[in-house]
Amino acid sequence: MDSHYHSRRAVPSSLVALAAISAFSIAPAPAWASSTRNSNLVEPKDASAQLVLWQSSSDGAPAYVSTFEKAYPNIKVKVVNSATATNDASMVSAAAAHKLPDLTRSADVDTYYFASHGVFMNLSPYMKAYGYKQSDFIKGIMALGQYNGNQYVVPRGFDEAVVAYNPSVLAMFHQPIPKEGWTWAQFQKEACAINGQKVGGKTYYGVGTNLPYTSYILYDPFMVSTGGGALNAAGTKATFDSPASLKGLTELANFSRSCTAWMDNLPKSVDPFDSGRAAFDIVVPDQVLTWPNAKGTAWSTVNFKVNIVNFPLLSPHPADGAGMIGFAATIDAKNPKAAAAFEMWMLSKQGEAAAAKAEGWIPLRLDLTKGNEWAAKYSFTKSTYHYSFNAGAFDSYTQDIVTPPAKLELGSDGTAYTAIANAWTAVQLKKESVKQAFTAATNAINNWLATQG
Amino acid sequence: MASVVLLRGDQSTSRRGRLSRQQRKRLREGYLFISPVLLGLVLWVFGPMFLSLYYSFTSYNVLQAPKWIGLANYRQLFNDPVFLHSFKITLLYAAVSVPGSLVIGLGIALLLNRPGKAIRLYRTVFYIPAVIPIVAGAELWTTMLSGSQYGVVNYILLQLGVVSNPIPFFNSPATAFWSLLILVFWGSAGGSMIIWLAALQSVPRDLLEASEVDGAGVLRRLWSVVVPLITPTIFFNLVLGMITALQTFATNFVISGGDTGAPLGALDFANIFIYRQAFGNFEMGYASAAAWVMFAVILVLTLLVFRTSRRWVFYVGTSR
Repeated sequence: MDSHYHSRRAVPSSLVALAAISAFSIAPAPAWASSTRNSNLVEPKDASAQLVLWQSSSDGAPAYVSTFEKAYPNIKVKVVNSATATNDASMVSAAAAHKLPDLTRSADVDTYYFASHGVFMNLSPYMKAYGYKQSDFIKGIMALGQYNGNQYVVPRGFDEAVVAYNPSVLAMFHQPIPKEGWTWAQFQKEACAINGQKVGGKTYYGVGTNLPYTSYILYDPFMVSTGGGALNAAGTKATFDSPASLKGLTELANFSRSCTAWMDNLPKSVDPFDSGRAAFDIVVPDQVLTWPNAKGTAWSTVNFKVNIVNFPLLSPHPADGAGMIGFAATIDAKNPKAAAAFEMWMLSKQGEAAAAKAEGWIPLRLDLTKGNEWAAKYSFTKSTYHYSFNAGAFDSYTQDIVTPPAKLELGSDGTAYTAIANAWTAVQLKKESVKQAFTAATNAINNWLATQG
Repeated sequence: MASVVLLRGDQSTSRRGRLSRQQRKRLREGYLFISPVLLGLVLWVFGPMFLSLYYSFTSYNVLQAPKWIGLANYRQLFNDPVFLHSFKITLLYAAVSVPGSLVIGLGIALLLNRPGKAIRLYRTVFYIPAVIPIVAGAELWTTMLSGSQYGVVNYILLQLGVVSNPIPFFNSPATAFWSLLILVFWGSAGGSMIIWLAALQSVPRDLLEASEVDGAGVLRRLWSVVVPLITPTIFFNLVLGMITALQTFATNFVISGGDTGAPLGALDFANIFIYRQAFGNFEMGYASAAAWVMFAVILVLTLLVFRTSRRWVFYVGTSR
């Protein structure tokens, strides 16, 4: 926060924060806001502004932006395509040139970097002014958009690990269909019973492991479930090598060796679940949403019916990993109040409904997360997709989610990601034990963190 | 260039130290015509180069102003085991891939250096990989050489009983580097083949026939007649191949699925390391320092090849 970039604008930011804490505006709060509290940070509906939003071309932004513009007739949002692969580099270039868009999508792994360098606007004062409380939303998901206790990114689409299963394969090996509330032990038992068995010359697997193991969505809950974690409490050092973390990582590695296609299906390879040779796959809802193909059977490479069930509870500390992509307002927003109005609208019932309709995004509001309501209304539940949306499964998401510290930027590149990727590969190839591999990863990450100041 | 020609053409005037009005006008016009190129060169080539040289002495993450840290980035680089590993395997890759590509390209060219309709077809077939985009080629080969039993090559080998377990190819550090070479030889042979063919066809037939009359066999003719006459082409292919090899990036990026250099750093070549520092960690200063180290290495190696070329490159019509 002491960055050159941020300090250049420190005075207006401070004023904004101060105003948020002290003032109650005469402007009326929007009808969709969950509180009647007013503030001069709340943009009146007749205020005029033109916003630019950087978003992926595949996103359904035009649909929910249109709904927003109806709620705020004088605020226009121009959606500009920004390719996912180059979005970070574009953001950095635009920030350096002080030509950031008013609004941009942002992934969880970007939050720390852009928030800590003063690129994103602090939305906490606006949340307060609009009458939102953190406790209104799924805590673990909101945390992915926070830095230093403040909200910088409003999460929208979020990815949480779920389990897809192929009923035919389960039936073939006389295994029961999983039910909500099943435990890790049950999952493990079923998957291990199937793994490696041969029928008609074909090998079948327990779990296809579609989700890459370098994804923190998978390994973070294991560490947390055994009392460990990615960083120490002070957030200064990586702790993948702590006894508690190693216990969780070892549990995941052992499970992977014995019950999944992991050992036969090294990185950059095919997922046997896609070809009907695995009973389970660990996937994320986002993948579920993109499953339907033109035939309406399932996703593009799958020609059988699948179902999903909530991620099994890990004993003894139930936990589940999640990731998200959301929206941030930038420090270069020409009209910060208007930009914040868009962000706050995305948190409203109307905003969540519009986004769910356009994208199938699962709601963030606790008062809307009872799955059946959404299962009945929105795109991800269409029966033509030939899979059942386990709406009830999502009801228990709220308290189970754990997320890693953003400081590690565990995205798809950089030193931390590379260190974790190398550790898993070393374990998978049996070149190193879990302890050796993750001690090396911890050292590499800590060496890098030491250079970060 | 126009101005150079102009000045040379008017040396007598230059000696007098004055240009006529007409000459000055032509000079201005000349500069005007080349100004877009000059401007582009300064803005987009020299500008970024010298900026990156400056950044290499700074701590710079783009969002904050660069902070001068002297040689700290360079000191850190030479103590960074990850960079040293990247540097080492990049040199190894160049040392293996460049001669390999030269020999394979020349071998194919020798086989196809004969008349006939079918030969034209073969030449086209061998040249096709050279026009396939690098990314597409890399994706193609990751499927072909998939480390699982479902990979095309593994499937065939398993069915034929040649191997009992799938070869990990790009999935194991022991095999990834060598698997990459398969892809590289496939992709580069066609391009260099065309150049080799042009060189081979410029070898005077009378020299070949004379050596044949003198009793030289195929290998003797190749070694004593053909190779000396195509040394300028060898030199050209060597220099270009070396520079290209030391700058390899896209293929590894695709095969590793990003900037990790996976598996276990086996494909973590220097440019992947530089990219990771620049766009993964946003450490532009450190990345710039690594880029300048690689630039210096490429420059020194290229100059060395140029220097030694006096001893082994033979140009027809010149004497040593």
